[in-house]
Amino acid sequence: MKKIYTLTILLLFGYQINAQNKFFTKTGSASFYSHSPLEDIKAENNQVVAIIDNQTGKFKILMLMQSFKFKKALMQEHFNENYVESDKYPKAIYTGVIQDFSEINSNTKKITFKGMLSIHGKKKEKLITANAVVTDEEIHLTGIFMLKIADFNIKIPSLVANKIAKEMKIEFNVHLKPYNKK
Amino acid sequence: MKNKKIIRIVIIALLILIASIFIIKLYNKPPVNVAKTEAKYHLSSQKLINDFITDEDTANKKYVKQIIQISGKVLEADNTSITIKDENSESTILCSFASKIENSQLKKGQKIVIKGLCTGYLLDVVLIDCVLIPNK
Repeated sequence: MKKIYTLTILLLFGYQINAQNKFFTKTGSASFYSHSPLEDIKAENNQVVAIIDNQTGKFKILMLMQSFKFKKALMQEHFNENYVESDKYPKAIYTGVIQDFSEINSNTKKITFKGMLSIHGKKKEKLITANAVVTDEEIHLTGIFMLKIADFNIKIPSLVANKIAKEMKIEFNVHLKPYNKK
Repeated sequence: MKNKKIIRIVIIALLILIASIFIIKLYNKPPVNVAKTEAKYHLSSQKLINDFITDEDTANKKYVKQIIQISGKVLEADNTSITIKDENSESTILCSFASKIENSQLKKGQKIVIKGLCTGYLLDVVLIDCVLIPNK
């Protein structure tokens, strides 16, 4: 266990040492929405971390499940305790490579991400297309995609199974800036 | 005899009413109000960061979902978040506010006390729904 921690810390330091060629944010936002007859389920997370290496096109997106904010305490509790089990699986991670990265320039309107999305301890390959604004100073990504709940082994109690949509709509808005070491 | 029956019905009706009010209230309860809740842990930013770096699992169990009050120095501030950093560590604490705030008076290196709900550790320790505690 100790070894893993040391490795993680080393990796994090590694990030910071050669981070000059990276675009970065800690305050991206992601929200999900699902319609149900009783009430719409909606939550927002404004602490999404995103890192894009602008040499290789590799990217990494991380977020904490606990950072999703609901309007109602009970919903938030159910989400964290019964559905995504954020005690056991605190993070959602999406990591991979941008497709056709070498062709991206300031005229690019859409960027396609190809990577592994890991939620609730389950991994699933996922293509996500984002509307993009790319300049030397920023990469701004927005978009919407759907996620099947069943893909991530999230169990829904049979009592409410028919009332909760099988797919969640995820919306994101991420504003990356060049990383400057301070 | 008749009176007793009426009283019984009234009592049952009242109980049902109270129960439903209770259930509706519980159902509609908003998430915890950080400003009005006393922090469970009071500590320095350095201690919080170190706890997460040395053992993330234990720190998660201890701090996540808890309201934490920390003191530390400002690294960056904008109108939605403040980043707190200690000289001794590469990691920082990211404190986000529920709504936009006016904090242009905050300077880099300034000492502040801030309270928020801890949600875990990514590259930084994350606190949400933060509230600045004014200097006394």
